[in-house]
This record gives sequence, C-alpha cells and structure tokens, in this order.
Amino acid sequence: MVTATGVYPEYLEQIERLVERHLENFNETLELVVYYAPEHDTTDVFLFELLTDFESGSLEEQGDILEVLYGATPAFPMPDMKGNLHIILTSPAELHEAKRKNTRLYQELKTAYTQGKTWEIYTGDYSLEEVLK
Amino acid sequence: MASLFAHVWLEQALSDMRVATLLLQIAEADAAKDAGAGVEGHSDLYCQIASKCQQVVEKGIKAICLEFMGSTVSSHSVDRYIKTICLAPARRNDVVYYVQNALKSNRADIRNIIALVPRSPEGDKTPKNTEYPYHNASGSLVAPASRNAFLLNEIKIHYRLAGVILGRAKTSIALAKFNPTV
Repeated sequence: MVTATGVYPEYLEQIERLVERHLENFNETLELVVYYAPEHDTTDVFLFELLTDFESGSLEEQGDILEVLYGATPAFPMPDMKGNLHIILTSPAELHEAKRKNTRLYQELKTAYTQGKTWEIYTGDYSLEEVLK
Repeated sequence: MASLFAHVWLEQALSDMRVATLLLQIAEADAAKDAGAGVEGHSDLYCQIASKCQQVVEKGIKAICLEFMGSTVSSHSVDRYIKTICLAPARRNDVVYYVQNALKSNRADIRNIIALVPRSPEGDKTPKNTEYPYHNASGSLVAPASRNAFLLNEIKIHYRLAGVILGRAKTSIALAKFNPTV
C-alpha cells in the first residue's frame, strides 16, 4: 500500500518484502540491511546493505560507497510513481575505509542512527551499532 | 529508465559471440585432427574462445544493467553490476525477475569466467587468465595457449554461459519496451 507521503518509516512493509528477495539471492553473504532516513530527499527510500562478497574492497572512483538508484516501479510503488529507492552497497573492508575517510554516505548513515532514524531489517554477523563504532 | 547505451553493449557482445562461435568450430576441428593422430585433442584457440566468452558475459551484463538502471551505475566492476541487477525490486512476472534468477543459477560459472580476466605476470603467483602467461599449480609459468592450460569441456561451459547471458540481455532489451516495470 502506497502511503500519501511515503516518508520514513512508512515503507517498512515494502522494504521487508524486498529484503526477503535479497536474502533469497544473497543468503550466504548478506550480513546487514538497514532502512534509514538521511536529512535530504525525505520522500525517497534509503537502504544500506552490507555484503561479505562484494568484490574489490575499495571505494568507488568518486571516493565513496556504491549508491544505486532505482526508480519507482509496480514492483516498488511510490506515491505518484515519483521518487527513488537508494541502495547503498558495501563490504566490511570498504565500509572500514569509508569510516576512516568519513565519507558522505557513511556520515549520513551515522547521523540517521544518532537521530533514531534507522531500522535494522536483517542482521547476520554484523549489527549497525557494531559497524558504526 | 532504459539507457540508449544498452543496445551498443549488446551489439558488441553479439559480435564477440560470433567470433567465439567461429573459433569454437576451428578449435573442434583442431581437436578432431589430434584425436585422429592418436593424441589427446587440443587447440591453441581454447584460451581465445574463453576470452571472447568472458567478454560476452561482461558486456551482456552491462547491457542488462544499463537497460534496467539507465546510467545511474557508475561502477566498473562486473560483480557490482550483477549485484545491482539482483537487488532491483521485481515481481515474479517481471523481466528483471527472470534475469535475476538466471544470474543466481549461474553464479558459480559467472564467477569462474570473470576470474579469467587478463592479468600481466607479476611475482610468482599470476592467476590463470586468457591472455598472459600465468603460474600453474606447480609454480611454472605457462602460456594460456599451451596444451592443458584450457580444456575443451571447460571452454564449452564458458560458451554455454555466454549464450545464456547474451540471451537474457537480448530479451531484456527487447521486452523492456513492453514491460512497464523496467
């Protein structure tokens, strides 16, 4: 069910269904999934995913974690079919580097955590508190 | 969010596949000649076929990703393109879902072919690749074209995979026009 505003945490049910599919595809390597709300693009949806087999172990060319944008579709409806689903994908080694460099995406996740705007959808061997320490 | 660039990657992948097919025909004839002479079948073209199949897989995956994602993926890593496709929201009857299942069920073969990307010899542990001399299990430097570096059965696995990925790329680009979820 698409809500009128679509703001955090109104997509929780949709996110849970999506993550079920992610677990089907990456059951051995998906370690942490967090639904969160940064301060910008408040009607967009943000999902942080930590995978252990994420090749390379170094940040993207632009110096941050990989952020992929998915537009609204019938598979992930959003109000008026506008807005984006952002999936922020990383590995433990890459996240460590992002933390050391205090990158924009790392800062946004950390700020959302301190503001109580994070929801751990799935935890494997890692928790959000642990990765942000 | 289809990209204008998707079909360009697909076009090149189709050409690579044509070369792989032609090379496979020659290699099978080479191997048959060997067999006729009473030695184990071999062709120095096996590594070249593997190389072309690897290119088909990479370009096919990029075409699929561009078709589904537009130009929003900036990564150059094929593994990341695959994950980007596999994480996309999809319903059971979506093209994306069909592609995700193909990538999932061929994951091991995809990993194996991507690992063959050319690497210049360095130190004493250059991994097996399709282009440059590499170190075998006993530590000797061998040419990818040499006997036993690549085997026909192995090449056929790569060739099959290239066909599967290319098929999914063609379908994705053809059906995306009619599928509102892409």
